[in-house]
Amino acid sequence: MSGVGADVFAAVSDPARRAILDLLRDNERVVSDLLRSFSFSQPALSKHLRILREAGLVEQRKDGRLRWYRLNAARLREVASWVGRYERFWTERLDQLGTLLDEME
Amino acid sequence: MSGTIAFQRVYPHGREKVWRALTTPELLGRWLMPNDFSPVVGHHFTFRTEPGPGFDGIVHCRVLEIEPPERLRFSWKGGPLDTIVTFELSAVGDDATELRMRQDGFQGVRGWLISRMLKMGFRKMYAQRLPAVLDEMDGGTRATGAGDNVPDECMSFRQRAIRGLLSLITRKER
Repeated sequence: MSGVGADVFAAVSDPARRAILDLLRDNERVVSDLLRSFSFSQPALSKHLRILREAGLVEQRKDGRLRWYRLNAARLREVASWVGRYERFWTERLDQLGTLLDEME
Repeated sequence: MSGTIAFQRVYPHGREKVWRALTTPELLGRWLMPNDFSPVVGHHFTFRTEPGPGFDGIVHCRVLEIEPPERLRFSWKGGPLDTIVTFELSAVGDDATELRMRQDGFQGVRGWLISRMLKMGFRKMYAQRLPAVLDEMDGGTRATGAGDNVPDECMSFRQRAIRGLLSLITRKER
């Protein structure tokens, strides 16, 4: 998990990759779409997309010769919901401690 | 990068009593989880609960510090977690006790999200609103694969949810 975390952190530490995520937020895109929106060379874009894919933030789908890229919202969801659940775990346990103290002599 | 979660409560009970609830195995088991705790520095013990994805249901712990009736610290390793839990008690007047609990050492993407969320005051949102947002988003995510037959209001809700999470991740560190 710490390795994955480091990847995610490295992936979003670059402003260009954040801009790519932002562009993929609402729609799936092909490479030519992405190239039009940025001033990257194709090799630079490929490298950014590879890093984002390895971090699990972006997914690729092949359709004939075209490669579609989309944001993996499930990855964001998975991490964020874990944090929320963990927070609730302690909140509930500390409530139970309060109930137990009321019952104890 | 590591993260910390922290909680603070005041219980209308004396400090000795709260300390007993933290350090008597049977009482600790009634509010936290069944365990074989013993109030001795260096003692290895476990908490046992229901297994979940990536977690066999066993939390491995070791007592690191014990100062009755003020401070208890133990390691907490289970599933992907390798953390340290600290409880501190202070008397509030004659009949109440403030408990401060923290869990330090969350690593990786979890630690990173935890530390940012707390820094940004997102705790309330996460505890209360986020689960609903995520459920909606999950439904929306599945539907997108099917094309454009996602109702507009669902789509915009999903987009808002994704945007919120993305802004959390993409905002620059201060």
